[in-house]
Amino acid sequence: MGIVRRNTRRRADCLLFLALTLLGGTAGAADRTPPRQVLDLHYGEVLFYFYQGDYFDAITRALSAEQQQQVPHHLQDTALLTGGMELSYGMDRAAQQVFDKLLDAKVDEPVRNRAWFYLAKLDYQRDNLAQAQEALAHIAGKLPESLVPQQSLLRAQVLMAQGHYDQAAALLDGWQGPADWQAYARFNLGVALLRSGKTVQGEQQLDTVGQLTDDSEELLALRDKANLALGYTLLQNKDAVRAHNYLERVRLQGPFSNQALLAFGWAASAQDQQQQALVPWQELIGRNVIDSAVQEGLLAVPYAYAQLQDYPSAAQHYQQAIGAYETEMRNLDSAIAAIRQGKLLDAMLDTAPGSADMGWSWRAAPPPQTVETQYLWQLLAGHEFQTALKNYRDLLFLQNNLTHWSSSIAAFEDMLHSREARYQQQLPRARERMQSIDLKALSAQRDALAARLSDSERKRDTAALATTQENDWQARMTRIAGNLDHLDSTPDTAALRERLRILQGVQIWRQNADYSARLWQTRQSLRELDAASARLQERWTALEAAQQQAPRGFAGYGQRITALRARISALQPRIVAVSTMQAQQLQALAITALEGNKKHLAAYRVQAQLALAQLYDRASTAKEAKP
Amino acid sequence: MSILRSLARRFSPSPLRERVRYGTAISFRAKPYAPSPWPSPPVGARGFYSLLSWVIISLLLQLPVFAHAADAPAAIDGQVQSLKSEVLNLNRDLFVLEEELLYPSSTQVAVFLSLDVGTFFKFDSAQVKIDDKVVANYLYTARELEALRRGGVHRIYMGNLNSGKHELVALFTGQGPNQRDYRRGATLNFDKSVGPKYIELKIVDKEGKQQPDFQIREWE
Repeated sequence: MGIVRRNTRRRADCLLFLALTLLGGTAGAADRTPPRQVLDLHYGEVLFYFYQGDYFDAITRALSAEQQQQVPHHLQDTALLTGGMELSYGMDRAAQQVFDKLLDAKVDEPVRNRAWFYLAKLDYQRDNLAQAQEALAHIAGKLPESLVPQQSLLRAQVLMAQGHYDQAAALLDGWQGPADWQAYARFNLGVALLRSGKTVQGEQQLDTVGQLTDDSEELLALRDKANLALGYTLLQNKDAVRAHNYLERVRLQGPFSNQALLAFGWAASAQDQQQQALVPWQELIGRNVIDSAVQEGLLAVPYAYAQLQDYPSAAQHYQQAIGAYETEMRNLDSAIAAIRQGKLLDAMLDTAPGSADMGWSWRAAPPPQTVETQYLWQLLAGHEFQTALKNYRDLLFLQNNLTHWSSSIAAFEDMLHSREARYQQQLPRARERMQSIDLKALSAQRDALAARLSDSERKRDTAALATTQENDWQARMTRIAGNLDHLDSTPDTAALRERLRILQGVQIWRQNADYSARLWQTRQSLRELDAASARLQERWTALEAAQQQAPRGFAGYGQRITALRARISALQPRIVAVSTMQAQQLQALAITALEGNKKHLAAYRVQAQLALAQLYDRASTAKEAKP
Repeated sequence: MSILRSLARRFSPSPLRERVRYGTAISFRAKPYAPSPWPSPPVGARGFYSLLSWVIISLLLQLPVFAHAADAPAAIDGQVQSLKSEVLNLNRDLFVLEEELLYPSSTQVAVFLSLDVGTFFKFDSAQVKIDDKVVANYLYTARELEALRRGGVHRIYMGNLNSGKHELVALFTGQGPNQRDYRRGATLNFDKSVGPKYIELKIVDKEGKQQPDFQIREWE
């Protein structure tokens, strides 16, 4: 269990983890990650959405591509990616099924190792530490480069959760990994060393973290945390002087500043420097009373005044504390009443960014700071509440998704009906056209033409390839020859017969000269006729098939639409019912937490009242003692 | 006085007090601890430090990196998980139906775009024309470009075409070497048969020429 990044970092962690672990990129160097070799376009498309953090689209496309067998080269990758995204959606059961299935399927070593790593992570999340350790033990052989540091970090976390701090420390000592994770690993190492009794070494590690120089808010918060942890540890060990030095490093404005101010005062107070203790405590009580450290500070200030024997100031501050606690308790009552009226969820979700996705990528935005809603941030810090809120928000997302599909499926139905109507309208015309075409006769004509061509080729019958004009000329010449036969032989008719002979010779000569070209051209035309016939036959077959298949297709689509509509309709009320349950659970969680706060404030108020009574008692006794 | 004293005794600090978790990373476990140092008598060091011991224990026992999905009551969480799975599967089936209805496989044409390295070309946008008609114009965001650079493939166009011969022209716009505006085109003549047709537009670096290269590839 060691440290580790809190909620602000979780999304980034998760995305980084998914990207690096699933795809084997280089940790901490996303911008240098070489592109993946994509062998299936549809897998690349899944990656396109995945890398943009649009998990819903990515997962939908991954499932669709798997079902339609569009990712034959990336089946395992797609499954692994789907499992990872399901995990990020809080669907650890579905994710486990994916990983189990992958491991059953004798997959490649890198995929197997990554699946075991994921399972270990899942088990660790569920506090199944023994299973997590077992899963980690299955990781064998060569690991992707990015997985090595993460694996040892996870091993160390599991060991720490089991109380094996020595082993965890040994594993973390010298841990190498991405630069921005280094500080966390060192913090864990410090914790493991402290918990295993190696106080000096543990302090050294935390001290190093406590002197980080970094601009990022996340690492600055970690630095504050390390210094605060050191400060508290040393206070516990009655070393207030050194505790003071560490606490001094904590920023005045930051997530740990209130606790640090409180402890800073304690460190001074423990050295009997009440005046110095008042400096941080006075600063502290000027802050929002909603914070527990501020609430405690309200008691610390009058305590210091009492120690300085400034009883009037002490009494005044105790009264101020009682007033602040009572105001706070009234505010809590208002907040609880608002929650009971269901205003809490509205306030939180109304301020959420308009993300189109669910799961990790969503976080509630800061709620507006009204009296009722200022407690919501406190609730959000609780993991149980945040998980429940995310579930609730995811359910709303699912509701919206199904509402969208409800209208789309109506459009699909309309589309199908209009297609069917158009089909029915065009069918008679198509059938009429088909009946008007005699495919067999056309085929016979073609065959006859082909036979004639072959015959003329065999006999070298050049006249068979005569043009229409030549045929006309030939007919005219035959007619003229017939007419000449009926005329007497005179010099004029002899000249005409000679001209006719020459013309017939020219005709024969031209047909002979052009024969080869004409033969090639005719063969080419025949081939084109064959191709056209084949296309006609194909369309004919397609039309016949369409006539048989179309009604079945319409009916098939209709059945699918009906079935999908039924699934949508069945899911919608279930989602509403679970949303209601989830909302009730959220309200119950919130009310329990705020009631706890109220009890806590009541206890503080009792202490302040008691201290005030003692002060009055002391004053009264002193007055009585005077003559 | 005596009344006050008796009041004081009656309201003596409870040995049990709870601290609940607040809005920071320090979590105060609901555990009993010894009386607070306030009010008088002067702070009892033992009480003070026993509080601290709980604080430090809480400090050191932080939440793990990943969320505990099991934290939520199992019944509701189980139902939520089951609903999510069912809705995702339903989305898959609806997505497939939508594609089949809008783009039947006999006429389906999909154009994908991918980017390989992109050192010599800072890609901005692409235009796709089929048979001289603009069918897609897409301006990429930085996030989309990063996804492309890491291996993602964008389906820039999906439509229907009759079987037969067609021409696809792709125009790529961006900045080429030396920060110069760069606009290049590539053409593909393709045959659309009965099955779906997938075409990939690919921008690759030509190391030898120190220039980008634009390729169009038909997928089986």
